[in-house]
Amino acid sequence: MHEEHAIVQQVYEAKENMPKADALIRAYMPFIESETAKFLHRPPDLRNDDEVSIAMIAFHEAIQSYSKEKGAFLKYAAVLIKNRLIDFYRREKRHAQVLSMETPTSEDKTLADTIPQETDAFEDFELRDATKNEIETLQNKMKPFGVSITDVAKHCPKQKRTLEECKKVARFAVAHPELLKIVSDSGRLPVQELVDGCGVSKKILERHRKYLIALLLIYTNGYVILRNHIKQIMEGGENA
Amino acid sequence: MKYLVMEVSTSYAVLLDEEGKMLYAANLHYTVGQTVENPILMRNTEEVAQSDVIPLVPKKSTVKQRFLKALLPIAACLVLCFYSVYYINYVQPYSTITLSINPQVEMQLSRRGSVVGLRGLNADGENLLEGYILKTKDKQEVANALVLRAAEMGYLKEGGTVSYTIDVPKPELYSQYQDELKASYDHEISDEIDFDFDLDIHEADDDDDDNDDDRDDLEDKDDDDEKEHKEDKKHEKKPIKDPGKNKEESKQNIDKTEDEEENEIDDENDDEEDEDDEDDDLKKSF
Repeated sequence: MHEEHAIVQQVYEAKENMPKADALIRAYMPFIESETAKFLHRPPDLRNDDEVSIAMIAFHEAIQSYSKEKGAFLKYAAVLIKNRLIDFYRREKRHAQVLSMETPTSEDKTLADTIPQETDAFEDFELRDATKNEIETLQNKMKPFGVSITDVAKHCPKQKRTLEECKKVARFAVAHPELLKIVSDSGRLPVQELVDGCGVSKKILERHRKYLIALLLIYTNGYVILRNHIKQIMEGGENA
Repeated sequence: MKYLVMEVSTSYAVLLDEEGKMLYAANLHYTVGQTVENPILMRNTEEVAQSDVIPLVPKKSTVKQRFLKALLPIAACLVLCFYSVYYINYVQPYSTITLSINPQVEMQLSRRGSVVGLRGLNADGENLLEGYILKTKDKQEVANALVLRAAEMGYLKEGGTVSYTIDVPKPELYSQYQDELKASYDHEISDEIDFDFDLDIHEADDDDDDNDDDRDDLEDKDDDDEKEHKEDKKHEKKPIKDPGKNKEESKQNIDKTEDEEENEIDDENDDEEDEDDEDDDLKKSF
């Protein structure tokens, strides 16, 4: 009984706080692993099995969606984990017609050999490394402003409509580099100018402040890869 | 859609999609900077509610619910207590009053004195009760109604006796009932019925009631005899006019019915008989 109250307390605290949720999950790893094992009918391999990761994200979902009327938390989480794993398996089954790369096609050759090499493995690594650096730079830039990447994800607009508004803001800011500078220098969002300039409501700006800061920062110097990745935002402006 | 891995942690990863959305996803052993294509994105609460059917968990009972539940047996006990008190006082037979005219009827009374049962003890009793609907619980009213009924049906005649045998566990109760019955007789029955009859109220013994009646009759007879002797003595004190008169009077005294004990009709009869005697004497003289 007492345990129930304790964990419910922790769950409610973790709802708004991703690091706390992460810590809670780490604390309940044995539980998560055992639930996964029940599904797999074998102990999970933490290094290679995706299932544990899926179970963990399901646990996150449980934390977010749990309320006291749903009964005991762990029982609720167990149901979600099981459902997620089932979903994953269904999806995987669709792609089940996957042949092993090692399948021999003719003597001395395998399927792997027949695939034209589009990318260079070394290039891949380089790209990834460069991306990683960009991201780290961004993180470091945002840190003094009290913004972390996790925060950004948390405050990211979920609805399409809101996302469109944010894109509008980005396009406008890009067209007015002085605004970008304000963000870059102070970590502050020039709300009034943006409201006046692109007609986006103040409420949206406030609610998604951290996200917008990160987004705008990406359009300051240096973040080429990131910009390239989200070029759709800019394209959207042309179509609108 | 391609996703850029922005951040990784033990239990999740943050991905940047091509629309600029930052999303939580399962950390499928990602590294930062990696581009991925088929992420397992974390669903929000609405999506979870729609897709996951959670088996209904019985709601944990609150303190309030448990408290109310605990009240049930207490309430049941109270109901039992109150009912048993009610039953003992108002329903369960506690004492009886047996009405004997010729028909014998038993009235069962509760502890409080209200009538809870009526039954005939002999064939006439049953006949008397037949068709009688018990409307009131007041014993006086029932008794009166039964006596009137007996008179109407012909069971109670001129000179008959209405006898009440009271069977009670407590002596105080006996005197109370006795008073009540006597009072109701004085005020009601004697007015309602044209002819005269006697009222007898006595306590029940352990013996058979029938025997009591017989013994009472014998006692009555003895009383009468005693009274006659007293009256004889009275007459002797008067100046003796005719010695023959005394004999005739005593003879007539004996001829009187045995059941008349409390009445002062004896004295009236004496006077009448005196007149008769005088007439007879007159006749004799002629």
